[in-house]
Amino acid sequence: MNPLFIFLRPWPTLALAACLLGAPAAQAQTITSSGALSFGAFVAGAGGSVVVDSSGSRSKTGSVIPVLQGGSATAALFTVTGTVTSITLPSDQGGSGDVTLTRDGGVETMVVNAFTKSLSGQLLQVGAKLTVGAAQPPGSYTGTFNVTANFE
Amino acid sequence: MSNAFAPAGLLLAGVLTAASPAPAATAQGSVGATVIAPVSVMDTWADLPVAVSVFGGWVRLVMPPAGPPPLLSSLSTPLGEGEAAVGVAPSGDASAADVQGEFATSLSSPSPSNGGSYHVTVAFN
Repeated sequence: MNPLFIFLRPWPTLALAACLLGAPAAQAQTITSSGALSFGAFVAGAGGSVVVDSSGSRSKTGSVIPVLQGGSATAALFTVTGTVTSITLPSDQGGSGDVTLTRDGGVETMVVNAFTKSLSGQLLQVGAKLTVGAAQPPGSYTGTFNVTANFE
Repeated sequence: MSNAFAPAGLLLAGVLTAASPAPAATAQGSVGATVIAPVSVMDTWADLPVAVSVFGGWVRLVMPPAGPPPLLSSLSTPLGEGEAAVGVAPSGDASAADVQGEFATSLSSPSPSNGGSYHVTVAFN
């Protein structure tokens, strides 16, 4: 047998393996934020909680008094492309899953947790619960949170 | 003549493919909330008739210019609906206040709609 033929025999198979490994994904797999989660405006009163579900509907517990000043409450919006197998929210990432909001220009905080989600097509909506302290200092509170999309 | 290396090559491709981690992507979202300061009550007003204008879901109360707007505890309308505790956020003229709250939706279709004036009775803490 030709020694060169013996040497080249395995290479087509290995080349095929390399091509399969290097083949690019058929579709981009991304997640991007397209809208903030907003609990809207409210009077803290003796405290309680404000809940915005994944459809953007707001409810409250305790003595919190929701008002419509400054716009309505909204669920967070994300655009997801690709074949999603699961969505990981802050409450799924281990630890307390709490997200902290801090008052702009101050140090007072409020905690957001109990995240919920709804995925329809490429639109992911995320809601959560905000815990409001008694006589929570007035002001604008902001924070950030991460959402991970897992793909095939 | 068979290629003895073909199964090995395909097995290598399968093992390396299976060992690759599932792709994932992460996005950062923002979250916010606004806490409105309650208004301290200087005087107790009870059953004080006020003029109410309704437009586009907002309710505007025009109250006598005496003291700061207190915390509204209830609002009843001629339609007999919409009692809710809301916060009063003074805006502009100290003698008037724009009141927004859950009760506003119950006034979304008054007669006449999107305008007009109503005399209602309001109670304050």
